[in-house]
Amino acid sequence: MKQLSWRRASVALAVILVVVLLPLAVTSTYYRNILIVGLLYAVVASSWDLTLGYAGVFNFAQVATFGIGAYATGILALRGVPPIIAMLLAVMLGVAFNGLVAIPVLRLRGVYVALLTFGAAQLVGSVALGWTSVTGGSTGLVLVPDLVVGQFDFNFSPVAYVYLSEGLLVVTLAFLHWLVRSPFGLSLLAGRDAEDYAASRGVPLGRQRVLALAIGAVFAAASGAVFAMYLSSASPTIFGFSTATLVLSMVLVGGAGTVYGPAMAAVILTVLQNTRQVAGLGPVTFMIIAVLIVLVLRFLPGGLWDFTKRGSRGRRQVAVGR
Amino acid sequence: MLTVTDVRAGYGGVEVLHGASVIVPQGERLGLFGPNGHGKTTLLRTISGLVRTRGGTIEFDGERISGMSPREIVSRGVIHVPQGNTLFPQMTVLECLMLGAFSNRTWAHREQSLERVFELFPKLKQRISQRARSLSGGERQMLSIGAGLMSMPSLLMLDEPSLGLAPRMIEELTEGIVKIAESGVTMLLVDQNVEMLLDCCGPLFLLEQGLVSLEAENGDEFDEERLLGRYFGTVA
Amino acid sequence: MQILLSILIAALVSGSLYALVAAGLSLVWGTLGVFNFAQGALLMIGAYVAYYFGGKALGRSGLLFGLPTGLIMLGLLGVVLYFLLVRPFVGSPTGELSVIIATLAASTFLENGAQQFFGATFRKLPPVLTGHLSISGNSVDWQQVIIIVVAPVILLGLAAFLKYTKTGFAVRAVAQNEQSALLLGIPVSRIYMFVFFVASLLAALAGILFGGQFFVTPSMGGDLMLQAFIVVVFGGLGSLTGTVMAAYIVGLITAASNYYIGLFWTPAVLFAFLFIAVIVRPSGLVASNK
Repeated sequence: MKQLSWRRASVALAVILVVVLLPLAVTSTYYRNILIVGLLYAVVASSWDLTLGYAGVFNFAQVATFGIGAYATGILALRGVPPIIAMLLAVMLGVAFNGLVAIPVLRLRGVYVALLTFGAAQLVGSVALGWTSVTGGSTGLVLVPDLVVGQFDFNFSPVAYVYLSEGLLVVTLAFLHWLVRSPFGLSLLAGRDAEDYAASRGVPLGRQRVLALAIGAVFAAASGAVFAMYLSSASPTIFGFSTATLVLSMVLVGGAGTVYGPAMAAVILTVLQNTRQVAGLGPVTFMIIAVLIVLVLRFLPGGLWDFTKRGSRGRRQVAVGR
Repeated sequence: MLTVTDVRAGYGGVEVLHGASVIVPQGERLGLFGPNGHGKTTLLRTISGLVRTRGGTIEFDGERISGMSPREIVSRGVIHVPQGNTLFPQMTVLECLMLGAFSNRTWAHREQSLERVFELFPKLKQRISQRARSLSGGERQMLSIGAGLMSMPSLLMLDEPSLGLAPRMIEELTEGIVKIAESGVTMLLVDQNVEMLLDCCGPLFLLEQGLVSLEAENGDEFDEERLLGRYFGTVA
Repeated sequence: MQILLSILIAALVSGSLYALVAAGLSLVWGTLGVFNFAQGALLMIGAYVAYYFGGKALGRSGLLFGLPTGLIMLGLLGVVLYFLLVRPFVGSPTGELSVIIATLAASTFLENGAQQFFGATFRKLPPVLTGHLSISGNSVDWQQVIIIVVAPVILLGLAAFLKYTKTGFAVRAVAQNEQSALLLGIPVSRIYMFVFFVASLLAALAGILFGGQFFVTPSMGGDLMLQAFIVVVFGGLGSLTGTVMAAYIVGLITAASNYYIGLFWTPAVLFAFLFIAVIVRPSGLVASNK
């Protein structure tokens, strides 16, 4: 037992050191940018896993929620709403969207949920493209005001954004870590693996799934809000098919049904995707990602997280391709 | 005809058969009984190829069939009629039976096979254009067996044919089974209804804990009592 | 009157195209129990193959060669997709989600591949028949007439095939009870391949017809798929009739919405419609889902 807590303590210490020092260590603007984007995607990916991996809900509207967070923040900020308020409102909007989508989702099962959420995501995307007066159409939003808290302007100090993104990710992961071990988390797993039995034991499946959707939405929208503030812009490509596939691959490659897997994969994949060789490939990048997804599904269903853990614990993590 | 040797099989992480062995001689009517969950259905599914063997071999007519696909096994005349089956709910009785003769080997003889099935189970002929799902439990069972017969089996394996049937129905079924066997089809019957097995089968085997234990020749009174005692715990 | 007629024509054209795509989805769902997210991408590739092999000569001779080539190659592509992305997962406990994601990935792969190879510019396929005719004052393209006529004919042909041929018989059997089919010697695996082949043919046909009337672009599949989603959620995937009926209804709503409310808001209208439909009638039009 003592050995275990030593290991745990040293891991925790290492993590804290990395979190605090990394932003200061990365001095190149180029890499800092990649890091921030990677961290924000990590938030989206890990919160997506809550519904997709843990609750077993075929939710495909997560990235759209991220987009809603970004656009809402931008639109409100452009109209003079103080940035922090704008971000909060954006998160609420994201949750409301998921709540709305949850209504038909609860009446459907399996693939129909996938279709419906996918359709909802596409719908939001087409609104973003079509409502030019509000959303800027295909150009998107530009010149979004800076994130100013008190006297501190985040956009003048990019390091601040790294800390902010890190902070968001840490909060997300800590929350998820606690959540999946809580009775709520276990009831989600029960609802996923043995639906009828769980229901017969009194698990309020409908309510649990709505909650899972809402919680996932909070983090995705928050991440989108920070994203828009950081880039001072929002583009409709956020709602595109390619972005969704990219984030999905993060969830799968990292390991659906694990807390840290998707986050890990998000950072790694963002870094990989932005290396100069890969960035120049254009559409081929996404072809590679697609192949990667299928390979993971076939041969490594537990994702990278499972792969790394299997050695030390020998216990298979809960995963998509059990 | 059928030789099962030391077969291990199961689902996922769970092994159900731990080395089961049984021999079904040609022309015999062999009965297999045992408690639920101990591998009776799994054994049949392993023989018919739905479940892969993890150890041991299965031979039919001198040929090794363990490892073959269900289709290949069916083409050699080993037919498995699964338990509690609605067959094809929206198809008519005639259609279901015709599907039984689907493979090339049997398609050409479908008219003759059909006649034989109707001789055996006249009730099916009466209901020839009714949809499978509208039949009663007993009739559905007859239909399942009939479809199996359309495949012209050398070995017919029935999984719990008496399940959920009223005693009178079971009698009718037993008569049918005996007639089938008399026409030269070797039979392997799996059921929980030991009495029925005693009525229509020769040798009896008990499948327990994934292993075949206890064999009895039908008619051998001492063995019968032992068998029943073993199964029910006491002798009546 | 004129307006209503033009809306009706548009509705029938859309409905026909949706019906072809959705029928393919329904067929695959009915037998294999999986949803092929790549159906739209197949449609798009079909159009591009026809475009490519029809040569740059946009005449009728071009399509004469391009159409059958497109169909056959797509059929084969469908079978390849089946082997790579569907077969490995069918039967596993998480198979449903895995196939959704795998076919989604295939869709990304094909779309980006098309973009890489052909570029994103809009192309046009030659219509089967050029020119137009006049119906009570409205100008109707011959291609539109072709679409409206061909789709139901093909679908009826499909229904007849399922009902009267031995292979169709087997397909229906597998759709109703796969295990029994397997145990009676029906070549289930081959049926799966066949079904995927047919579904891909339907997608390719839809793509070629669409391309002749509208345009060919890498994302055309995705757009059509969205409507197809609404069709199958509304009509249910289990029954071919239900799916086709739903396709024409959604076609009508699309056409009406396009005219009265505006192109950009049509997706929202469709979605709202779907929303209500799901709440009021969750099991789909014809209540026979798997």
